[in-house]
Amino acid sequence: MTPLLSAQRLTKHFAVRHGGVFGRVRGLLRAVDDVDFEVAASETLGLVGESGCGKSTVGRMLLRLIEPTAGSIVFEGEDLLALQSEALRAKRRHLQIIFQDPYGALNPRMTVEDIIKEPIEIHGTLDGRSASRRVAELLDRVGLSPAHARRYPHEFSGGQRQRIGIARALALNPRFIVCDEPVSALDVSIQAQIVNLLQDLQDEMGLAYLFIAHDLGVVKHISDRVAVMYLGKIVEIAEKRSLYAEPLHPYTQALIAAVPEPKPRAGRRRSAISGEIPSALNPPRGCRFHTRCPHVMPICRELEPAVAEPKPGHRVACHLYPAAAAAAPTAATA
Amino acid sequence: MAEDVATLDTVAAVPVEARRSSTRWDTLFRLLRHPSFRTGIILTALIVLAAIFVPIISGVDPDKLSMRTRFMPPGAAFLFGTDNFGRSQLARVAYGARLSLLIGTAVVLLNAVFGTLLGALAGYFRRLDNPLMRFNDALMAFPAILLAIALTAVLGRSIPNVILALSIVYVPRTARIVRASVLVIRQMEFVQAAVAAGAGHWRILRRHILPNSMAPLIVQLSFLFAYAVLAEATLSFLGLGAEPPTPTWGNIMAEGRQYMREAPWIITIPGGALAMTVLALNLLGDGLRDVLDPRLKIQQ
Amino acid sequence: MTLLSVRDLRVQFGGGAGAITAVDSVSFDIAEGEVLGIVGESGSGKSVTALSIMGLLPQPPARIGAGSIWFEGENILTYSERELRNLRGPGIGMIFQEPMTSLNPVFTIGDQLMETIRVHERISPRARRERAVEMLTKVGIAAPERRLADYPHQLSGGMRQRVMIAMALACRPKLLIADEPTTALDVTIQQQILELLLDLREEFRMAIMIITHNMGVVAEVADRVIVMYAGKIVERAGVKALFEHPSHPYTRGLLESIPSLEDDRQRLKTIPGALPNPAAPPPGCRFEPRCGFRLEACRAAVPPLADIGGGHDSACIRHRELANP
Repeated sequence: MTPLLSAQRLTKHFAVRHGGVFGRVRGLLRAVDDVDFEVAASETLGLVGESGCGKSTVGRMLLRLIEPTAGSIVFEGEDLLALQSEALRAKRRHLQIIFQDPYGALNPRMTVEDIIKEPIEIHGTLDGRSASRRVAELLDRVGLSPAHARRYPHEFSGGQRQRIGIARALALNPRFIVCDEPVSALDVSIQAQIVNLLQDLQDEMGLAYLFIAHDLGVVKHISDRVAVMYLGKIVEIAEKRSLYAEPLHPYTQALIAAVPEPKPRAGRRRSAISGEIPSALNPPRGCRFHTRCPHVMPICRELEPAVAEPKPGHRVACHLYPAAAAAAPTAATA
Repeated sequence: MAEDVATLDTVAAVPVEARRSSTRWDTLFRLLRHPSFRTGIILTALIVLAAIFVPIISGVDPDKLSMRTRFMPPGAAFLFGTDNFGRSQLARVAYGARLSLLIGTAVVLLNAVFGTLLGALAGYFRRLDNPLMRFNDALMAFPAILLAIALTAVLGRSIPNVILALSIVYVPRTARIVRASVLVIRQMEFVQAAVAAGAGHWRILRRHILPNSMAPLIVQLSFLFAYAVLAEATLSFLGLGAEPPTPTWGNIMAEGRQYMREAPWIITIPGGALAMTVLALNLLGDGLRDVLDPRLKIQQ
Repeated sequence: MTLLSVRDLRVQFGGGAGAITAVDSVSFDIAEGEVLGIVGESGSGKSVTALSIMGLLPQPPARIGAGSIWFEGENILTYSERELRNLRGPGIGMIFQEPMTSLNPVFTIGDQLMETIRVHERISPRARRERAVEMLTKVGIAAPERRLADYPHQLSGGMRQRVMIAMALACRPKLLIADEPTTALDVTIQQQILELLLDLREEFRMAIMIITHNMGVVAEVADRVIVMYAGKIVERAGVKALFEHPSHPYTRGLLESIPSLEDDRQRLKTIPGALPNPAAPPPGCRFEPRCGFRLEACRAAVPPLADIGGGHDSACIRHRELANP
């Protein structure tokens, strides 16, 4: 079955310049490097990682809010990166995004109605009165009242603003939504409400999500498959049960072990990994995780590991699991 | 639906009282409560009213010469006294007020238009930023008043030329302020959301960036009014503004300079009017800045 | 030995009709060497409580309306500014959530660290430097002598937080207040910092008051826990008792709405609604509008925080039914 969206060799390098826009390029921030993944229709792919791993950049590249340096993004059979203005704009109806910060994501000078209506206006899909009706419908769908349409964002709480952002993302009936840490900035009791809402919407509308988060618990709950990123690369990707029950990559193992569980235990945990996350300006040679890996081997310092598939559907990039085709570290096909 | 309770409670959580007021009214009320702004706007209003009505009410012709009424001190006949030509100072200062306000308004309007244009383009389109800003810096390299002097010397003495010169001098500064706002707003996620929805540049500038960049601009424009009035008076005083007998405050003061000993009121009254106007506008600007600027940050 | 004792603390903001009671009759104790976790969401009053203890609450706009805070037998609410300054450092230390804004960006961390020591102890500059290096080593920073010359922006978030801890502990306080110390950090770094805090607590025999909204963190490090909601304490218990027998609907709601790595439910249980308006709290129990267990009696009066046995307090009149579902 062809996936809804397929990203291949997706790369983003930011040029770090000294001396302003015309300054010399001093270094390359390798934010995302050669990343491959697919998302099927109505599926949720979770994307986890810590600071500097590039997950937010990946999300934004899918919508071309950031232009990739290299790679391809195939959506419903079309390469999004090959599209130019009008065609790109038309495609934008199908891919939307929900942001992390409920306070920065809504224009403070627009009413809620205007905010949600804007995508509809841009694409001219409905006329004035139908558009207002659609806005009322959407507000209701996300758990707000149509009477809220005439209010301004500052009159709402964080959770409610996030709902408004979701309503806006749904306005054009997209097929795919990038959820960029949608609940990280919310209180715990509100997070659960929003997560449930996102799941309900997915069931009802057949949406596919790329769910970006750093909270492993939330990701596990909402995702079907999960990808783990470290310093710009995907180190492991698998169906969620498989990933959490049997994490293969040492980083995934450490990440899962580091999550404090709401269950008091007798002894103390000890962390498996030490040290800080290296800078993306100067990632370690070979396997990027080798500086903190408890299982580091000499080869890890020299060679980037190729992607292997030790179990069907469960891919990992680690020298502990040598790729079957031990050739150059090219991306494995779907 | 299991989430019905959540829906109900979420709805209940937003107070249903008449908080339907737009943000603009809130701002207006806050401004009126600010002491500096209140004083400033009252003074400005008085000056504006005086400028409009005093000439009408007094009915005196500012150009009317009379050797009989020379150098009369302020008194019953002439409220502000007369000058060396016997002209009513009241009439002259009042007409001068009109001119100052006119020039100030014109300079502010031109700045609003061109400063915003320049600043928005520079801030929004990265490729235009450097060339536009270097051009800006070149203009700003000259001290404002010197540039104004040079321009009026070249263009010739007239009110439109004064307006033009002052606008050229101040637009770079306004553009800078607008550009700074635009740079910040451009990064905000609601702008990204508009891009993701397929909005074009024009829509983004018009609906998202400019409305949110207005606050610092408005503050700047109110101070700019004060600078313009003062600069115009300076130019006139130096003999570069409108030609006499046009009664600009600067002209009046320039002529009255030689009579400081005999008739100090000729120079002190317009000087006082100038000072009061600049003070009023600065207070206005302070109030606007205090109330508007913190709101530039998206509030928590 | 009770180190800190807060009694009926009430803190208000603003005056007149719109006054907000951020902390309402809050009482708790911390014993020497004990780790107390304070859990709550935004608006619960947990940070305001911590700032009151440190005397860092700007008054106005805040007003400490009532109550007392006893530290080693003295009511520190009556302390003068000078006495408070002497208290901070050797008595009580504090670390904050955002290490970037808590460190002064224009001074090196060595300067800031040694400054803290200088204010409280009369030792020679060389001794100060040695102590600074010692503290940096204790908090796990490699090459400490070289790090002294670094500026905050040159360090990562985790390292800055370690520096903050070093500064707070430089004078060996008896009590460390940690306000969301790991919220802004990555989860692997968070684990390191929490371990560090526990190690230091053992080494210095120090009590810790840790404020967080993360129940996992509480379970990891706390001995006893207080749960706050809208300015009041709704439950108080030992950590095991709290997680095994939560006796207040809010606590239960919090625990149930967290997607843990272990469970496998289809939908998360939520707490419907949102926090009450702080200027106009509900009559009676503050949680009542959102509570699935509410009764008429809950609206009538504010339920007291009652002892339900075994050092466990709950402010819910139906706690018994909660314990035995």
